[in-house]
Amino acid sequence: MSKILVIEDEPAIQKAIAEALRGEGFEIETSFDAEEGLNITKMFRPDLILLDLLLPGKNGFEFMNDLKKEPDIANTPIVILSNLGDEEEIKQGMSLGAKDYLIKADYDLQDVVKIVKKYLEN
Amino acid sequence: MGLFSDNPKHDQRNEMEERLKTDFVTLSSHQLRTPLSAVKWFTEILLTERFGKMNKKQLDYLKEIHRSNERAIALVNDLLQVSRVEEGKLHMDYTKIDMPRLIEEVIDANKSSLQSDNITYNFEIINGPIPPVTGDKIKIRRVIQNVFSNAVKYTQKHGRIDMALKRHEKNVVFSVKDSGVGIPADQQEHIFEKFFRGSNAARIQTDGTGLGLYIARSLIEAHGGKIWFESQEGQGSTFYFSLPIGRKGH
Repeated sequence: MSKILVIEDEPAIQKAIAEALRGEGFEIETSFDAEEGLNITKMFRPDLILLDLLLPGKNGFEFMNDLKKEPDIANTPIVILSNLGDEEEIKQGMSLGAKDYLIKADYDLQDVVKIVKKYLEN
Repeated sequence: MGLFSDNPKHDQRNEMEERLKTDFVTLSSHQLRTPLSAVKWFTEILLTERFGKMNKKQLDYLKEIHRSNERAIALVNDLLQVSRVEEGKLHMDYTKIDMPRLIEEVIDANKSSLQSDNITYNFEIINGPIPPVTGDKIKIRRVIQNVFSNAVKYTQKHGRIDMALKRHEKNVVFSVKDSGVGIPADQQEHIFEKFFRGSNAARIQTDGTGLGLYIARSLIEAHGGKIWFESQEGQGSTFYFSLPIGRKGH
């Protein structure tokens, strides 16, 4: 069973994603901020991280930079899931090594699940 | 969260938020999209009926909530794009665009709505091969999507959409011909105006925002291209846009 960490500060969004992914049989951990997210990543060792950008404390980009400094978990695949959709953010996210950048409002929940599955298969 | 927090965590967040606050529209659209995403996703979870079967009326009403929410999301996205256009903040990321491929991608992304309405479609390349155009791929994709989804919306069930891409002098011209309701003659001059929706729109219950063609024209003109149409009420419409080959627009 693949393990997914959802870093998302909006409780309703976090709950919806976790619900959908658990329904597909994934093991899910959640975090409301980047620092806690990094600690959970070290212990939980997720196969993929779904990452929001605008978080309390460090933002999602800072999380990605911090993750790179941790050799054991540096290569954990990240899919950004944000409602910030400016080209500037998309470019920055992809250049930091995200597998994908999804604007939440533009994706059906089932499509998010499909995309997660695609990256887990690769 | 207060702006003058002593908590270093808050200060770090504020760096990004402060930057976004200077861009009111970006921040507003983010703030609006978040609750809209929650409504969208929880509605989708309920529509799977994984927590119990609903009766027809419950399902119908839930679908209405989903549809209205999708419309609100589309409106936020369109308003964001309009604001970018009008503030002159369009950031153009020029690359060489393989137009036939991009058009196929848009058709593929719309296959489910074509199938659900039993719309027959055809895409033809005339005078190929088509040389690449220089443009911003995301924006040109959006133009193709706007023109194409208009054709789908206004073509009733079992209708037909014919698309063609051809080289014409120093331009590439894309056309989308539908067998829809057409545009009444007295409304044709307004079709690219912001928020304009033809009287036919209400009759066939489309859920457009009236911004799609306005955005399409702005984006095409930003590339140095042109957009136009031919239409007769009751006999469908053909929308065209042209893009210059191998050079950047304005």
